[in-house]
Amino acid sequence: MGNPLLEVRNLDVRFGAHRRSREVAAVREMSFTVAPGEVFGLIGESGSGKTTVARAVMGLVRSATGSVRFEGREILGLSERELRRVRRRLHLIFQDPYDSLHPGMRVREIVEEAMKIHGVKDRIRRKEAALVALEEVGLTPSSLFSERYPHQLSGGQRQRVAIARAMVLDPVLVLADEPTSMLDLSLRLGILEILKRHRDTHGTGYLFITHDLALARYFCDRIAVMFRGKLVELGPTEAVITNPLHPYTKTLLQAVEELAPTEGGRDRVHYSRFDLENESDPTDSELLEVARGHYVARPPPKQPMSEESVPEMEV
Amino acid sequence: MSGTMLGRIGAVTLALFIFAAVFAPVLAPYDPTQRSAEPFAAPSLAHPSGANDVGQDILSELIYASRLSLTVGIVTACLATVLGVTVGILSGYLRGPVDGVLMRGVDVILSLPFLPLMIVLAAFLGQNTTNLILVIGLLIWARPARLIRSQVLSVRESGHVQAARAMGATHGYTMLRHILPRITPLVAAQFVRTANVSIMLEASLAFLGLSDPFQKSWGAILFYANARSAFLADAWLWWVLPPGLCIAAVVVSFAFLGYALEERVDPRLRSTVPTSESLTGPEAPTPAREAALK
Amino acid sequence: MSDTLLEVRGVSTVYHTRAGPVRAVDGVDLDVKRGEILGVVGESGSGKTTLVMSLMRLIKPPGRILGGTVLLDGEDLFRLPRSKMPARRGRDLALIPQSAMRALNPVIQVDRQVAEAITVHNGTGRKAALHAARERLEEVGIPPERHSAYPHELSGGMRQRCVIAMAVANQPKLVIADEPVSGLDVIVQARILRLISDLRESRGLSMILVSHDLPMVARVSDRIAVMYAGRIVEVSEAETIFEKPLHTHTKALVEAIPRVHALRRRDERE
Repeated sequence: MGNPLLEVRNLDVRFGAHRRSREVAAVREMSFTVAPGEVFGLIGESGSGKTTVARAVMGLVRSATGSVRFEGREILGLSERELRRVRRRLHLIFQDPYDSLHPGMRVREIVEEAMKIHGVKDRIRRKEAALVALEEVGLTPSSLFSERYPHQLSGGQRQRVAIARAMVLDPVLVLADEPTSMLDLSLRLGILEILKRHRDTHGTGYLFITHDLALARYFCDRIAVMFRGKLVELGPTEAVITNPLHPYTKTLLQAVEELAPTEGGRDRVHYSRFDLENESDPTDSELLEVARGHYVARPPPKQPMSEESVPEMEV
Repeated sequence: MSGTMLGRIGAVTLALFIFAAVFAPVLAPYDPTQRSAEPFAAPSLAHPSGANDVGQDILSELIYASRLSLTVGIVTACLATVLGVTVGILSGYLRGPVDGVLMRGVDVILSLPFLPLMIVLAAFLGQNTTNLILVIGLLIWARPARLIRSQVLSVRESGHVQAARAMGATHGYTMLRHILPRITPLVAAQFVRTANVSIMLEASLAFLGLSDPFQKSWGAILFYANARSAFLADAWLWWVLPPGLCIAAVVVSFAFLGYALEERVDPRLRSTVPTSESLTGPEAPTPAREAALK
Repeated sequence: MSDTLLEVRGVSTVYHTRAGPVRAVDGVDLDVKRGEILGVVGESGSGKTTLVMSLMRLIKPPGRILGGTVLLDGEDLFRLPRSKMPARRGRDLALIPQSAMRALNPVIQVDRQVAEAITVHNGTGRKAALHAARERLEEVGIPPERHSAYPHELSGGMRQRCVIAMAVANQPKLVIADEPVSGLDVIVQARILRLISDLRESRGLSMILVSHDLPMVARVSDRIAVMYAGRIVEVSEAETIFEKPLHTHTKALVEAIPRVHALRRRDERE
């Protein structure tokens, strides 16, 4: 297998001076690795800390402790200048296509920007690379789209521009933070297709962050489930989805089932009723390997695994 | 009346004044420094605005004075805006100690009483136009700086700013290419407001006799009018009213322009719904169809 | 009393934009039976929110309702004088809006807000209204100790429950829910939907459920109307819409939706 592309060890982010939004939850001693060319999914709901993990990997969280090694090199604690060099090979796709593109820049300028920032001075080369990137994400004819402004594009098209921007420097690792959650359902698979195609042709690795298990199943090789900053289950996608072990994972899958029609009837499937509010802080962060490559955090002792109708509290 | 309508009125009026200022030598019927009529002459065809105590044509005075008033207003606004934008962006973007220091400076300036301070400075530094511009400009940048900082604080959190940083952009690049373009509408509106304020301040200082004695602005005309008791005589009609109206007209025009620009800053107008996502097949409702539906 | 609670015919609404007039809703016909949940599914730009706003007569310039009839229990809401609509809204016709935070007053405690909804339409005394309000809140699953909380002190799911409580407090004839669970976590979504389902059973509510999330809507609704470009292109039973989508647009929607427990995985599709 060779050296891991990304190696996160005991990453920890606490509520410090940086408190921007409610989503910035603590990340508690998280560890995982991403192999070159692998699609690693980070599954979690709001408050789980998944976005914070992505930002920490990008070196955007000053108060992060622990270790994040990208291509063998430690990222946490690097100076801005050193980080810039790393950021050439590492790119982040944001969730909100309406916010992540500069409204005053043309599509071409947006896609070229990464090249410009990293010193590609040749205008013609930049333009050509941008056009190629636009073709790859399906915005054809690229010459037409390249001159448009973001407000002239739909949400799906904007997100494609964001992807083109991410790919133009041919990064080895792409972090995608909920890239489809603000798009209509019918557009989501299309976007994933683009990412998949890029992975197949360029061998890019992905850290794919989502709350949508269906997408994870479609795209990811391995997934890790996060709950309140902790990793509760980790393993190959198929294994975790068909055989979830942690109560939180089970509840998540049950909810997904409830929200989607099953074949033949709409009977309710009862898994465990995970009491989100009263879940005690699992200080036990050890992951037990239950099957090959499939790890689970030891569930807290008080968890009711029964099926009685307990009035549900919410976080 | 919509903001844009007001803006157009303001812009047109200002354009007229600027035109008058630029082409003063051509437009003014007489040389305002030369005596051309009887002292205190009432308005006539030859002198539509009469004459002052020396016998100089007031209309010509007004036209030439527009140069000074507008110049002071605009140059001061430029100075103040550059300062305000720089401080606002640095403060809002970098935050931390830089923000702390700069904002304390702003607080100090804002707590100073402007007019008395300017009177003292003008008296102290000497009365000439450059001093006037400096004195006003170095004080009125503070409020715009605050407002700009506010907006920078919020723009800073935008996705595209974070994306630029995540791509490895330096602070300077981000401030210049990502923050500045987003705050331009606010800066424009602030520029106009600042110009307004400085024209008023200049007029006030001039009225108090603190302006450059060699160049008459509208406020200075009023100063002389007052000094020669024009307020108490009939002459107020053609000596006091016209410069007062000129000041008022310019101030109101700037204000109208300001309204129009501020309307553009209002996020209500910034639509995030992309036009190409709107419906397919929209047809203009024909009168017949509309009638049929009623 | 007929079976049909709501009969919508020929509703059209236009928006006057700088690019010209745009028909957001174009000749929509709909029926909602008593005790039924009708799902209205459409993507962004399909006009579904405009339809909701039109039915509630909440369209403001630059939008304008061009015409149509909306018979709620035989009464045409479009023919009512404007002054009478507020009495209908909240009492006969209730809206669960998309974003709970927008519907709730941030400086008033939630039990008082629900009480206000009751008082406005029933003229009940303050004490009685507050008591009733607290009952409603419990009914939607908010525990007594949180009744006096302010909206920002509650989680997203709880806020949505408050909004639902306000909507059903006066036993409306019809509830319109516009994206009631979008933006909420998956687990919370499932629970809110369960609540809506339960309320339908316990109170016999009739509902229009509007969303872009077809699977979610199919799970809860009896029938589904698919909306595209301001028009209703298909109305089907929820049970069969996935197996037998009729209109091309519906087919496209159904095919494009990723599912966790689909029988066929991605590599099996090709």
